[in-house]
Amino acid sequence: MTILKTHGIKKHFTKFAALKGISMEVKQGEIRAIIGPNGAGKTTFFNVITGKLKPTEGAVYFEEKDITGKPPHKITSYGIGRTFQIINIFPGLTTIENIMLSVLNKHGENMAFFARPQNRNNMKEECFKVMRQIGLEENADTLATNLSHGDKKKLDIGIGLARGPKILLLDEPTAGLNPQENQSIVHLIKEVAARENLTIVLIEHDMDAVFSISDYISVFQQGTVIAEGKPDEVKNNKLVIDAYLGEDF
Amino acid sequence: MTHRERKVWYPVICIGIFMAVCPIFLSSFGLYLLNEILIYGLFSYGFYLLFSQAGYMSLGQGAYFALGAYSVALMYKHVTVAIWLPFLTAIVVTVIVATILGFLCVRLGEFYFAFLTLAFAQMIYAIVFRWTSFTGGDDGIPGVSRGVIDLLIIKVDLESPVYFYYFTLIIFAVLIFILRKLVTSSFGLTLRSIRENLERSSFIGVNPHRYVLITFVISAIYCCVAGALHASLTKMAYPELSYWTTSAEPIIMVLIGGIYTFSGPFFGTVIYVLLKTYMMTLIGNWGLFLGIVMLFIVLFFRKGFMGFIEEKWGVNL
Repeated sequence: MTILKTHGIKKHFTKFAALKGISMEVKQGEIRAIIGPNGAGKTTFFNVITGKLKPTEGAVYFEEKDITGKPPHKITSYGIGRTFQIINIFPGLTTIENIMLSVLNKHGENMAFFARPQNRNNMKEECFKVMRQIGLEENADTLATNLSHGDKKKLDIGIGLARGPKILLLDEPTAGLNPQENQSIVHLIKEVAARENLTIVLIEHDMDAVFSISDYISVFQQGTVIAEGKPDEVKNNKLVIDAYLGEDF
Repeated sequence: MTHRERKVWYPVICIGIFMAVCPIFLSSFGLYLLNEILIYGLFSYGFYLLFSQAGYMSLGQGAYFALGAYSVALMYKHVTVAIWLPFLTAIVVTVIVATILGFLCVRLGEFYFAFLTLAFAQMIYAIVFRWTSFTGGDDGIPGVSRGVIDLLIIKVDLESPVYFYYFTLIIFAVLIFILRKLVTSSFGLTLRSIRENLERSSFIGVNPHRYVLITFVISAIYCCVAGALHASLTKMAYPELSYWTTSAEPIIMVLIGGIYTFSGPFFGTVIYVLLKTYMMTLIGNWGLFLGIVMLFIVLFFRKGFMGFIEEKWGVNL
């Protein structure tokens, strides 16, 4: 079953065409990787799906519902979560507060004027579940700004996960991480995808990670999809080798 | 966490008891000063909610201070001296104005937000200043009543400074209690998330503009109540209440007290009002002195008075 579908997405920035008609279908439960050189339009594509940018042309469908151009908070509430290329967390709040915000939103409790979040045991339990998953349980009361780079990346994913999304868009989840942290993020992605039957779309430059976790790969170049297929097919595609992977791969 | 929170209550109770008994031994001037501190304290907390929690700097909260003052002054003068209707009118007017102006302001970035609030406040100042037949123009409205509490059989005339002081103290205590609840609630946490990272908050499913607008209106209500009490205390409503210098006062008080501590605005107000009163008579050039104080705070005590105490002694108030 198709969960996310885009139809002929075009995005122009005054003179520059960042996306030149992208149509893509993502199936329920699949891990889809988007690869391609810098400036290919990968992040712009995420921004259009999640409502940060409005497409110049084309449409985005989520579970067959047209969500084109809806504001980010609406799109998030439909069940699309995302993380960011540059770490995007709440630096002055603690780890548990970062996660709690998402959990509160999931339950529609952000507007609770007089209820203290600390006293909501069921929600606190949910927070700890997510923190266990991302391995930050021991840092619950640490200010997010004081976490290591790798832990901030995990927290970013945790905030996305805590909202209980149906699909999670990860923008370069392993960028800037050391090999060990890289491993643990890859492990985390595999684990949540399997356990929660979560659909994941990720932008990634680390090819080892991409080929080890993805079910399906789309290759972007200059705002178009030049190839699409299973990892093995993409690996041997002449166009992809020329444009991105190189002969040595 | 609970242990730490329990500790917080001791100083609050001590200050509360002091505030409750001080009319016995304070001179009438001292009582007036304390009353002023409570009123400016409310004003500071209105600003604090918007600035320290949601991260939106308003340069125009004086507009709501003046709206409160004028609404109450006009109602006392022309309609009734029973407090209920004037205060209700002040709040209703403020909610309407703040909702409309806030709606136009919150959509913009923080920098433009600050200047737009300033622009609207100056517009309100111009209206108050020019509409002589209604607002008294430059002269304002002199001889404002302090109102009468009329509750079935009980009738309290607030003309008495002591009664008016207790009236202010009760309003202050109730509103600060509500604010404390608000700040520690899920709503408060969501506001801080908007302050920390507005973009991210929309990607967890929060509509930040809606939250900031609600906060803007609540903040305006606090400023309005402060303004209404101020008109009664000084027995005057005058156009300068909506001028930008009035809007700057809560900013200075919150900065002195400490931006990110809940007790900061209160202690900032105490310091500010005392300095203002005594320095004005002592050296006359209050503006220069204030400038030096602000310089010291920005350079050496960026977290303000309470922030400094918190850091130095680990007291969390």
